Amino acid sequence: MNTVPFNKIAIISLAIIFTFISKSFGQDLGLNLMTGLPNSIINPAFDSEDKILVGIGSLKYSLSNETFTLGQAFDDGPNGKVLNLSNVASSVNERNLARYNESISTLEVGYNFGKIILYGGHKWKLDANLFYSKDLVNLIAYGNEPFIGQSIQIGPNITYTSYNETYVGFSGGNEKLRFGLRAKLLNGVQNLATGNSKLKLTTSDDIYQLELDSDYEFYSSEVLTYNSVDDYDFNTKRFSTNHYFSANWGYGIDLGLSTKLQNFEVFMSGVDLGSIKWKENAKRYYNKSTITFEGLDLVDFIDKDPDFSIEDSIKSLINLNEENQEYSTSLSGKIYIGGKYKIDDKYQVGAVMSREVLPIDNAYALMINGQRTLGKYFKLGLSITYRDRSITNLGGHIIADFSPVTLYATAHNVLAALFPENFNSISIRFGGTLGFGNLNTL
Amino acid sequence: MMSLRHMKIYGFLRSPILALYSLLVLSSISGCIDRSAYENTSLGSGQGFSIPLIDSKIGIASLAAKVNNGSASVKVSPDGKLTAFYNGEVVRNSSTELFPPLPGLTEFGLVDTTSLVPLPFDSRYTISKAVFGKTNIFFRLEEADLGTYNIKMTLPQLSKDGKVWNKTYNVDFTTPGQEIYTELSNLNGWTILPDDNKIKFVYEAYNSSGNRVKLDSIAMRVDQLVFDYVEGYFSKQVFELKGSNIQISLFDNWVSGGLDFDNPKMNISVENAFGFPVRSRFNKISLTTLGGQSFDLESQYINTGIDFDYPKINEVGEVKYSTFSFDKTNSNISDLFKEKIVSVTYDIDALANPDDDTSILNFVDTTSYFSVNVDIEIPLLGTANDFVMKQETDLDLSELADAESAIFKIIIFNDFPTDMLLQSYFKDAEDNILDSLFADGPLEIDSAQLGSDLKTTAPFEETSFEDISKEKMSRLLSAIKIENKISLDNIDSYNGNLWLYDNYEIGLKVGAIIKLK
Repeated sequence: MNTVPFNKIAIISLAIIFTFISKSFGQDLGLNLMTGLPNSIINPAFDSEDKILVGIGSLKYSLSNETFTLGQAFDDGPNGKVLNLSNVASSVNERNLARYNESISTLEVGYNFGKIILYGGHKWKLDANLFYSKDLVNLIAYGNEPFIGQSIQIGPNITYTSYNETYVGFSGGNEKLRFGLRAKLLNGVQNLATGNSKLKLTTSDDIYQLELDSDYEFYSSEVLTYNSVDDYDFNTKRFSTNHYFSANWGYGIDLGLSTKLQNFEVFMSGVDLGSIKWKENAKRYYNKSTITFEGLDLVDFIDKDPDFSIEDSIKSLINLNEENQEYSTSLSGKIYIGGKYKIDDKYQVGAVMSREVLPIDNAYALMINGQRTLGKYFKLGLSITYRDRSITNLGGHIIADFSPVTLYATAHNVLAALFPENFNSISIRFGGTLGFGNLNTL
Repeated sequence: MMSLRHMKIYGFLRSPILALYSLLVLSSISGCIDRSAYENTSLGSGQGFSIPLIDSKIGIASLAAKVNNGSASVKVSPDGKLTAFYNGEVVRNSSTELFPPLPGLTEFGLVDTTSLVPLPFDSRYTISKAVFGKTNIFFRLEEADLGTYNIKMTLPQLSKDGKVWNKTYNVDFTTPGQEIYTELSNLNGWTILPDDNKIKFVYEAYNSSGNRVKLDSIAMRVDQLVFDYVEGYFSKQVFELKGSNIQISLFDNWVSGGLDFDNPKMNISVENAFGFPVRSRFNKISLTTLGGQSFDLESQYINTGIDFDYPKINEVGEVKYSTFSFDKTNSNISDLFKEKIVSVTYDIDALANPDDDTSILNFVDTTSYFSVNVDIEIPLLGTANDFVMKQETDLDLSELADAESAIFKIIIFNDFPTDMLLQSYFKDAEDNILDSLFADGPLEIDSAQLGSDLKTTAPFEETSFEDISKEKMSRLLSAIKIENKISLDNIDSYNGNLWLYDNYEIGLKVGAIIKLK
């Protein structure tokens, strides 16, 4: 098997190239509907006409927030962006989800034996989800003044996971039915995961006494450094080869199935089914209590230093317990079901829906897509997608086949990719493959 | 220094929330969005944060309990009436000051085989009985005629359990001029019955031939002379007690007006375990006013002194307690207190056996002591007449700089039969008043309603709001000092003196809605 030289310089070079061509496109859903792209990313039951397959890298960024855009939430300030949630507070739902996914496929190499393709590769993934309440947005936007005499639920639920994925897989079958399986060895880089997330803040209408009823816990591996309630640090690590081989090991599988009936193809897959056990600097932080702050009793300060502090008084009430504890988290598993129909040599239409399992809610998406072949080298696709509670996502994809090099890019909302701060959902993916030795010509 | 900078609760509340959100945003925008623009993300302003500031119930008794400076206290009578006490230093004399242990440096020569040795006490004392404490007796012997001697020493007045003290010594003089010291004999618990303050020693010395002889030199010595009990007559004498000064803090922050108390007192409390009569001798009692003038306390008892009780000869080991008060019935103390007294200075001695009555059998033992405690007792029964106090404190509001305006909600209740006015003035470095807390004049707190038993019934309660505008907030933020002023005045509906009770409280609850810039 031939292999492509791989090192950091190659990754950077590829990133620069694809960044240039990819400012406009990218979306995972679309990968299922991109005929002519030998890629195992979404569906392990893929097929290829090439004998030797090399994925020369792909990058994916996906940022979404269900109810408002970055542009709406942030104003320009003299020293940088200013988060001004009062701009958007009226539009948020009772419960909201903000997400970010990042995936960097460094290398994938495969060999096509005809009826079966064997392959292996490596990816780095980051998956972050934040469920937040309308009350929390309003608290940040307006303070607790509007909630005098009320209780609000402000506990966010956050998951933040980055990990390396090293995998081997196969795709086998015939033209009518293919099955694929990918086994993955996972190595966790960082994790922050909320367990119980009850934080109920009550502001009395008397003299605004505060009560915080909490049953809150979160787990951290390599993310949080916590010393006290006002001395902590969140640390996020970007993709780096230095972050491999931690003590956080896990396993996962991807499964795929596809069937063709003349010009009609139906496929389904389940990916990212697995978990990671976090051991590296793994800690549990928790607080289950009801604390109240009713103001300072001046009598307590009569015989003491009169430099009293309301802030310190409240902090002294908040006790975040910390313990070393290994824990496991599941990956955000995804299920894709779809089909595509080849109208003729130029045109193809298709649809795919997905369901992603998240800590509180599942996330659903649906894409309808059409693709046209342009000449010898290009395939262009257009799509409309429902996701993140929006159906106004007009996307597209492009595949450039300069055999043996194939480049592709896809975006589920082209305008969002061009003007990311003005849309609440952005997703782009770009990458390339090399294919050698067409089976049909050998 | 009181520092409202710490009231930045809003900053505290939002910081972890912002951190969580930033974690997601900063992670997410690295790919397709200009990340640098978001690296210095800050939180927008305009929020209103509602926080409780003060929730206090202040009663005089609970307040005094917190003010634990050791010299002031408030006591509650069974019916709840309050009395303030300002205590002076407790003066205490023990038996060792009357009969201090004597080191055994002196020896007492026995000039003949029967000798009388005087007890080393003040010649004015007549000792009829004494019990030795940790005392050891021994003898120094000299004899020019060398040889062995048998010596039997007897103290016929010294006995224990009916046995007279005697001791036999066998000594051997081997060289001329030799001094021999006998072994120590413990006298602890032995009782001596001196005759005219003298103790009789009798010795019989025999040489090796069996002939009774008189030694060339024999002297009695003790390692130290300690008595556990002495009985007799200790004469008329003065024990000097240390003078002291009592500070009265009622007028520490006085501005104007007055407080009148019905019957302030100066109490002298004596504990006496000495077995002899004691009379006070007042060298000086003077009271100093807020203006610095001193006035002597006048009373017939200043001249005559006060006799304090003492345990009689059949009450050894008991402590007798005596209390005497200078009050409005026997002194001018009540009149003096109208002049806003801030301190009382006194100098008192104790006169033992003041009438020099030698028929009274005195005693002292190891547990005997005499202590004097002087305090000023101010029953909180009186009136306040436009009594105004103020206190100035440094202030640092610099870290409230992002507060644009505020609304204070003030809930107050008053159990006291006293009208009050509260105001706080914010000052700059030159003591110029920049603004006041209450824009419409001092906060008026009416007295509680007075019942027919002259106790208050329903408290006065009021809720008010104080709006701190943007302009006013700006002025307050530039202040570096705050002057708090309170005015007290008796309830209008009653002109007489009123008791303050332990269940009277001032309740103050303050909350604030702070608007950020």
